[in-house]
Order: sequence, then structure tokens, then C-alpha cells
Amino acid sequence: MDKLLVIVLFCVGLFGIMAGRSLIRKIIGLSLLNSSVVILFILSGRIDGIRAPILTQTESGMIVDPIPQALMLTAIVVGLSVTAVGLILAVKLYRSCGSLDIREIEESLDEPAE
Amino acid sequence: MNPQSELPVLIILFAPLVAAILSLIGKFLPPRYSITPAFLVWLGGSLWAIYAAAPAILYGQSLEYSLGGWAEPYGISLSINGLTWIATFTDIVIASAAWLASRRYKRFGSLFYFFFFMALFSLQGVLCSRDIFNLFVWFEVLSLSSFILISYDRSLSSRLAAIRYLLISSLSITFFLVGVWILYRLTGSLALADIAEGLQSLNSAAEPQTITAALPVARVQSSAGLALALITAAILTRAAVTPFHTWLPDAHTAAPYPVSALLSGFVIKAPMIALWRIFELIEFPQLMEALVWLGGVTAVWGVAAAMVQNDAKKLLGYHSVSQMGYILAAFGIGGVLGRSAALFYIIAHALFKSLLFLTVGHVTTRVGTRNVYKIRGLGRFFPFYTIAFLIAAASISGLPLLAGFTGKVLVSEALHSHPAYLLLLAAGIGTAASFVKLSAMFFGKASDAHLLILESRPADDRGSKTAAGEANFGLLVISAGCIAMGVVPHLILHSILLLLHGRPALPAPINIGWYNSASLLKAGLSIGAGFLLALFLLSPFGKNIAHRARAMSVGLNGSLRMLVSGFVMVLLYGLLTY
Repeated sequence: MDKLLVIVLFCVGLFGIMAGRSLIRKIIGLSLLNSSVVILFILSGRIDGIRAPILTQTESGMIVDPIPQALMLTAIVVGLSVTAVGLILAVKLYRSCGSLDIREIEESLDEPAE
Repeated sequence: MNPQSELPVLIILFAPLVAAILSLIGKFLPPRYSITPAFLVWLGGSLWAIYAAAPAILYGQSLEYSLGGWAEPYGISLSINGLTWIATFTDIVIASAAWLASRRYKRFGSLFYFFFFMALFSLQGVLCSRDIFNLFVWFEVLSLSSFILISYDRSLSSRLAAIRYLLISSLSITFFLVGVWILYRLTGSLALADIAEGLQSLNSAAEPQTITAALPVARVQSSAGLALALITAAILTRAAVTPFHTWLPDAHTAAPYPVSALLSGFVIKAPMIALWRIFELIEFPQLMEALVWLGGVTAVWGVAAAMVQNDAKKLLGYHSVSQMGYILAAFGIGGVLGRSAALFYIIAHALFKSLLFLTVGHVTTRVGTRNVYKIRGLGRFFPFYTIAFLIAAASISGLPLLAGFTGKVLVSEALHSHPAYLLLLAAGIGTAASFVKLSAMFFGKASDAHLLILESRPADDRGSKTAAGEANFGLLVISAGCIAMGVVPHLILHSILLLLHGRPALPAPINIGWYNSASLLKAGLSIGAGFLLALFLLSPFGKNIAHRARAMSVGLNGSLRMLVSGFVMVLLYGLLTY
């Protein structure tokens, strides 16, 4: 069930990037894609009935693997920065073209006839 | 691990970061007190570090540094080995020349240099990292700085190129992360050495000792193949290999030219070094065979697209794609000869491509247009740049006594009877043709409008004689490198082997007839054929065809579709063959 959620989210994100014409939609797709991978990692670092990886002096026993969570903290930060730069570029393109549609932006750049 | 061996790694890594911070302080200080010292700190630090690292490398050792004192497999460890050493040295030369060239212009302020050094910082991370997740972080920092450097001109085209690159590279890095996840599940580690060991034991041991013990062996193997294919494809996207290359020509065209020189010269090679570090530990021969073919296809595709361009920088960008094909093919063949040929070609291409971008970039910036068909007669105005350009163009076309020729001889020796070599031969003809076409910019008679522009003083130039002289010095050093690689190739090859393997484990010397009749004949024929092809391209009929071919270029959505289908193909291949 969890895996299915990840796959659906991944496909929705991929579809958003590939099929969308609006830059904002593409960036949202990218965000979804990123989240699906984050969830994938987090899921593998979670097992029911085992303690959270917090080191205390009294308790001992099995703990879940803390590495995926640590990794995803980094991946989330990286994803955020990429989204931020992407949105800035989209806004700037919108200001100079008056459109977020990727085809219209590309057409406004096409080479003039020789 | 004594502190002495850690210091060079630390300095080589953090010198660019210190330089970046110093440049940023320049926002509040006159540039003389921040930008130049930042450069000198970076240059001095890096040069000292590679000097200090050299003795150990020559004895076949590598220098390591574990972040925070946590050893592998828990901590992240960075290391300099022979490969990193050579790559770093090339990086220093190219980046210095690019930095010197950028100092001629007023518009590059402290923010520009901040991102410039951040890019160098993350490049160094890519070169040193031995941890696969850490590699992801360095790649992302590198792309973030590249996005900003590419869109630095604030023009519509540069912003569009940056957002294309952003979407394509972020999409591919997601696949990379999925690959990392699979490898982590299979082997329980992120350090490359441990992953390699884990995969080995999964393949050989009857009872694997990891968390996947419950899974059948066939499934474990196919998921390992899938993971390696995903990671390879994502890295190849950064290295601009067909069909993942679509971001490169636009990005390298739109960037300011010193940045293009750095991007084309070195940034696209760094992923190849990372790939090398992965596959020197992990064996996957079927994938390597696929890479040879992919390299051949990339070489031809890049050249075919380059020949029809009318934008001088875009033409160079497509040639970067094509030249990556040569490197990838030699890399895929593997073995001592194949790998050293790939490294030799990486250095050669870094030199002549950055030289091309610096010269063409300078003259086209000065004229104010990049149209290959319209610019003529620049030779009279830029004699020094013309000579440097001709050295670089002759190198890339494979003229004897220059870097490209010896690189091609070495690659052909490595590939020797592999059928994909025919693709590289065809690409060689196209390369010669499009550089004859590009050279036309420097000959003939300039149009009146261009004459007027050339005789006036440019607005953006700082007009400083020293800055111009320093930029020329950078070109001089790179040109000298091109010539040295052509004249004494055996010495360069010997040093590469020495640095890669160390003196104790030095493999038998590779004997190559650099200047025998066969290689000279091949070069002569391909340049001759290229010349004829160029005459056709410059004829009205050829121009017409080129114009139509340009109209077929795919937009962003088209290139994304190409990218994703490429990914699907590569990962199916990995799934089925590992």
C-alpha cells in the first residue's frame, strides 16, 4: 500500500513535468517527484514496533535505521533550493514574456527569418 | 590516518569555499581588496594542495579525509587519488583562464564570483567524494550555482536555458536518488567501496548476509542492475550524452562566455570522473559495452546538430556533446588503455574547448552578433585571438602536432576493432567541416556595420590594459598545453599512467605509433572530406538545408520526452543484463 502511494506520486510528478505546458505546473510536478522519493526513503527507515533512533541512557534494544531520515533531511533542503530557484526564473520569465506557457516563451525566442 | 595526509584534501576542497566567501565580502569593499585576493587564495591553496599530494599519489596511495572524524561506513570520506589529482589540475588551469577572461568586464561583480567559486567548490566535491549520497549533494550544489551563472545575463534566452537545465537535471537526479535507495537497501551502505563489496557478496555468496536475505538471488541481481543503470543515466545527463544532452547547447550558448568556457571545459567532465570512481569498484561489463555504443551515437548526433547551427556558441555547445561521445566510448572500452585514452581526451578537450569558447566568445561579444554566416574578417582586428582560435580549431579537427590529433589516435587505438569506431570516424569528418565553417568568421571582409562596431570602444569593457593582458596570458597557457599534448604525447600519457597507478604498480608502457603513416593518412582524409563538406554547408543550398534542420529542433517538452524515454531504455537494459 505504501509502495503504491509512492509509485502513484512519482508518476503524477513525472506526468506534471512532461505534459504540463505551464512552468508553474512543471515546478509543482518536480516538487511532487521529489516528495515521492523522500517518502520512499522514509518508509524504508520505519518499522512498526521498533523504537525511534534516539540515544538514551536507560533504554536499549532494536532501533530503526536513522540514516534514511538523515539523508532525506538533506534531500528536502536541496529540493527546496531547486524549487526556489525554479520559481524565481519562472517569475522573471513571466515578467518579460507575459506568459508562463513554455511554448509561447520558446516561440518568442525563435530566430527571425533570414 | 595521520593529520599530514588530511591537510591537502581539506585545503583542495575548502580553498574555493574561502574564495567564494571572500568574493562575497567584496560587496562591501572595493574589488581590489576582495576579488583578486579571493582568486589568489584559491589558486595558491589549490596549487599547494596538489603539490603536497603529489608524492603520495606517485607511490600509488590516496589521501583521505573523513568528515568529522567518522570513518567509513558511518561517516563521509573524501579522497584524492591519481584520477582526482589529474582532474583537479585540469580544473585549475581552465578555471584560472576563465577567471582572467571575466576580469575584463565590468558587469561581473562580487556576486558573480561568489557563484563562480561555489561552482568550483562543488566541482571539487564531485571529484573527491567517495560516498554516493554525498555525490548527489555535490551535484545539486553544482547545478544550483550553474543555473545562476547561466542566467547571469538576465536575458530572456539565458533564463529560459537555465530553467530548462533546472527541470532536466532535477528530473534526472530524482532517478539517481531512486538508484541510491535500491543500492542502500541491497547493501546497507552508501560508501562506494562498501557498496561494491556488498554487491560482490550478493553475487557470489550462497547466503547473503544482508537485510535482503529473504529475497531470491535473481531478484537481487536485477534490482542491482536497475540501480546501477539509473545512477549511470543520471550521471550521463550531467555529462550531456545523447539522448540526455538537450539542455547543454542552450545553456552553454546563453551563459556569459567565461562561464561557458568553464562549463564546457570542465563541468561536463566531472560527472565522467564520478562515473569512473563508481565503476572502478563495481563491475558491470554489459553496461560498459552499451556505453561504447552510446558514445558513438553521441559523437555523430552532436556533430550532425552542430553542422547546421548558425549561432557560433551553439555550434561549439553541440561539439561539446559530440566530443563527450569520444570520451564515453573510450571509457566504456575500459582497461588500462581505454581509461587512459578517456582521461587523455578529457584533458585535451578541456583545453581546446575552453580555448574555443574564450576566443569565439570574446570576438562575438565584441561584434555583438553570433551569426556564423554574417560575421567575416575578424582576423585583422583580433590577430592574437585568431591565432589562438586556429590552434584550438585545428586541435578539435584533428590536425597533427596538436592535442586533438593525439587524443584521436589514442582513442582509435583503444577502440581498435570495435564497430562503434566507424561512428567516431564519421563524427571526425563532421567536426572538421563545422570548424572550417566557423573559421570563416576570421577571414574575408568585414561588413560596414561590423566595422563601425569594431572601431568603437565597447561599453562593458573595463578598458584595463593589464586585465586584457592577463586574459591573453590565460589563452597563451592553454594554447601551449594544446601544442604540448600534440608534440610530446608519450610524455603526457606516461605521466597519466604514473599518476593513475603509482610507481610501484605501474603497468607496462603503452607503445603507440603516434605519427605513423596510417594515423596521418586518416587525419588527412577526414580533414579533406571535412573541408569539402564545409564548402557544401556554406553554399546557398547547404544554408537552406541547415535552416530547415534548425526548424526541426525540439522544445522543452520534446526534450523531456526524449530524456525520459532514454531513461526507460537504459534502465530496462540494466534490469535485463546485469
